[in-house]
Amino acid sequence: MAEPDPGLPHLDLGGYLLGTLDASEREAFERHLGGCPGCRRELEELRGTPRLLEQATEPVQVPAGLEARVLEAIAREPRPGLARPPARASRSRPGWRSPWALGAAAVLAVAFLVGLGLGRALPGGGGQPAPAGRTIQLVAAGGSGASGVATVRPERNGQIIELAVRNLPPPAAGHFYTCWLVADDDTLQHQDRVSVGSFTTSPDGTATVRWETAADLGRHPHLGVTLEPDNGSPLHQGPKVLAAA
Amino acid sequence: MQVLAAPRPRGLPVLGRRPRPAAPAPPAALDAEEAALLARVGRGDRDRALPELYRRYERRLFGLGIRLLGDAGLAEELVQETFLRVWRTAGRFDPHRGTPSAFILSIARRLAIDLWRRPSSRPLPAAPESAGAIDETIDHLLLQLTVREALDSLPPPQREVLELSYHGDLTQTEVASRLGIPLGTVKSRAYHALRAFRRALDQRGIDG
Repeated sequence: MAEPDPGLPHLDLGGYLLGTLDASEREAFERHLGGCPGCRRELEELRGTPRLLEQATEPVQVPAGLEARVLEAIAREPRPGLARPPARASRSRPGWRSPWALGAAAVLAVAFLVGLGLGRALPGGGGQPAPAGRTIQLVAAGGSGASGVATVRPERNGQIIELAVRNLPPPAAGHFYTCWLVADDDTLQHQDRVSVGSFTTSPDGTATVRWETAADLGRHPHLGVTLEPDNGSPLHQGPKVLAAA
Repeated sequence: MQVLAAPRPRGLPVLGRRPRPAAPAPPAALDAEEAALLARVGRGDRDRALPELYRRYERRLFGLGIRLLGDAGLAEELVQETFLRVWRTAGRFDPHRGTPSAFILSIARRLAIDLWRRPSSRPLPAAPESAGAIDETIDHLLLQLTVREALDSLPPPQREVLELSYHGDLTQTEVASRLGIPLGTVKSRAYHALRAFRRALDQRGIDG
């Protein structure tokens, strides 16, 4: 059965909130409020809204042609996800050893990262890629007993990634784990990685998760797991916890 | 022009760093729309999704640049660099980790701080130096700009009644006379405009 239409509130509710009633209108409205729960509820919901009008900046005037200039600059960029030009792709710098190590070093206090054996655990420049249709064994980046297995299978629009982890304690409050696909030249300052997805673990330290991703494995061939603060930032900030064995 | 020392009003949200709610909730319609646009940009759609997303943020980003840096050239640089990075990194956006606006504004926030640190871009010698002070200033500016954006999203007749009523120190009878519309229209428009403004603020994560 349909709810009865509560009807519109008193016609002067908006003016009352905005302070545009004259004295007699205001008194009349306040008398009405005493006997009208609907108006009192509306008043409560909207009470803080007019003061936000004060917060608004003056309208922003944008220079003519800015949109066209920005879109032209982007038109000169390669499409995201396309393979980089050979000159960049063939760099031999072991790109993802140092950024991960730096990330972990910044958060040594995290309880279950008991060491910094990242260099050993990581593939370095000639490391373990995550090719399609492969199973990847993951080990604790910090020497704890955590481990995992990721399988990467191609599908029509990308890949299906399934990840099962063991002995990975549930993240501390305000944190979660993130699975990444990482490019060779990723650094903390200039991150080049794709978040596959985020997860937490059960109290027994296990989790099984499945994601679909359109990430380009040619560009982001390395798979790993980090612990990230839940602060809305899309960037990698926390320590690495699992890396390819 | 400078509002560098302005404190962020208490109880108002920090934009671009909005935390996720404790319990999963369906994304707001605006977030869902922008998440879909970001996903399309991540797949290389620069003809339709990119311009649409750009238009939703252009004024906020330019406004942040001009107010923080006091220079139209630097403000343009902020807008252009932010969107170049959005273009390059949209594929990394993960809706489970934050909202589209948090993704875009956190890029803008970092770039704005970098531009601010350029020696040539400091408009005031006595401006705050600490990262915390600049962060606060950017939060406050983004809040003000997002409120403006919420206001600008209303139909012009509703926005007009709100702006005249609140900033004009007019009674509703005077507003009616100023706009040449019946008093009853002003009254109902004022209520509906407040409701619509509240909804636009909610969609942008602004409580109050």
